[in-house]
Amino acid sequence: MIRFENVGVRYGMGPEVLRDINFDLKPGSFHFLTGPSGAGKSSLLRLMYLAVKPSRGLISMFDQDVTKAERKDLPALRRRIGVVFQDFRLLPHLTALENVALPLRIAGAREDQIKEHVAELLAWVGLADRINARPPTLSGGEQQRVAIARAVIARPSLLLADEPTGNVDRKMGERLLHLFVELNKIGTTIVIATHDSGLAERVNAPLLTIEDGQLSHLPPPLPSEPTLRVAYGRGERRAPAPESAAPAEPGEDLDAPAHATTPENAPSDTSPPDASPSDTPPPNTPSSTPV
Amino acid sequence: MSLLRRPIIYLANHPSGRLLPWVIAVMAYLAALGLAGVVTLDQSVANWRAALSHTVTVQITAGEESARNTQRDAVVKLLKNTPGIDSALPMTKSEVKGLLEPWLGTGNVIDDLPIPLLIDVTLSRDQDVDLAALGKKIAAVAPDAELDDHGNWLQRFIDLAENMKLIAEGIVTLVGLATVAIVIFATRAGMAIHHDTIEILHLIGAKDSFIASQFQRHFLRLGLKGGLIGVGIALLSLLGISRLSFGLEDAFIPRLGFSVTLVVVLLILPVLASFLTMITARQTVTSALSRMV
Repeated sequence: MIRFENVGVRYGMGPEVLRDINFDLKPGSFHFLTGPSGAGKSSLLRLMYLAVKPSRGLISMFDQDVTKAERKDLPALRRRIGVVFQDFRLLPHLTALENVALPLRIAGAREDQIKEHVAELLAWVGLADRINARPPTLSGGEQQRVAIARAVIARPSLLLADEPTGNVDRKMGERLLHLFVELNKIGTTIVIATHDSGLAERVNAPLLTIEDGQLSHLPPPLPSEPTLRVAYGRGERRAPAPESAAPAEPGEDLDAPAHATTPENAPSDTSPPDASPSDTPPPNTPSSTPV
Repeated sequence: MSLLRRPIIYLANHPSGRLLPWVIAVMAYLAALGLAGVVTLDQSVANWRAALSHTVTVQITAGEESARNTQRDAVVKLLKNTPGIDSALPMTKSEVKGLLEPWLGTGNVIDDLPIPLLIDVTLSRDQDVDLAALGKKIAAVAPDAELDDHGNWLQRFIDLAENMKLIAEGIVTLVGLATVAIVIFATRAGMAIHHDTIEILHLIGAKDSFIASQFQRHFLRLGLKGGLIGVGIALLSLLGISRLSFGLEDAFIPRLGFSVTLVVVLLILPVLASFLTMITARQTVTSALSRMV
């Protein structure tokens, strides 16, 4: 899915902000990207959503060498990537529905398809009554949910999220996390940049830790409470696990299929809060026919 | 409004939306006047050529009056027997005086003033006449007669008109270039204001053509609006000029008339203005986007 080999990034004539980055994320894997502020998380995410090119090294995404790809080929690759920006980056003059619909409009979807899918997804993230609201009138948490809905509406193959639950309460955070997990179950590769160690524990996915521009791989943290099961780490290059670290689920097979966990056998306490008839993510959204 | 037709990049509240149509209107106004000048001069030159290319004048300036009359009769006889000559009509003394009156004033042409005898000759449009050979034949029968084909006089007028036409074309070209420059600045300003929106669209997979289409639609509307306003005002100005020049058609000045060519040019101009604006905006956006990763 994504392979970085000896990737380095420098801006202008400055020092390298990322050095010798090596990793290989398999399709359908789930990872958290952690590290202190200024360590290079944002630069790494920018590389992954094709906003910048590396100063050196090789980046392969979706079986294409993006460092050598022609510029005209990049939009098609970007459409396979959903991004949740830390500052949301919603268009202030568009309604929530129009913001979420953007990826579908760009992809040339029909209007009836757009309206149906977008409204359904917005309802699922708890914004059914806010679809015509513009971002300046939405709270931070609502804006964040709109940003997440925009990132996932087109069923991306890769979802990159920068602090996606930073502005919502715990209940909504879990609900959104559940959405990511469900997306992951149907094959979307997920990378979430976060400072929230509890979040990583809840999902029990491996960590990509970046510090001072260099990346290290860690196994999932020990959960302190029941976890959401994800198909993480299938075949990724992993650093040797410290002896103290143990897999989240004893005996969990790293090569297990991505859909090993189903909503039916998922722990009940991982269901989104505020249970409603559509408690699971809207079937049309992540799992329906792409539009 | 349909979701798909609603602009993603909200340019309507941009200063260019309010000012640019008026700037384009001024440019369209100047272009319309310039093009009207080009068309009018072009038609005038063609008319002058058509009117004078088949007319020559024989003038007998020297000698006693009786001798001049004899020479005149000889020339008329010669011309009437020459193939390719439709008519050879001697002008009366009062007709010649009438030609001088615009310069000397009515009633100021005294009888003692030596005025030449003139013969107005109309050449056949179907048959070419060798004017050099004709001049020699006339000189043989009337030594004091001169054949004037108006060539020198007409050529100076035509040269003047052609140069004025070139200047008018230059003005139209400069107006077009100035319009392009203004639209480039307006587009860049719009891109700077909406940089974040453009970046988001770019990052979620919008092609350059999709982003450019947002700008080109906006600038197409502004160009059409400005073009219609400018050409509308120009039309009023040209009607005024045409009205003022009415009655001066006998004088040798280009007369502004609303020919089919001029009307077509004026109708096309707003469309051209809008397309020029749209294409300039599109090129500016795609050029700027090509510098993004």
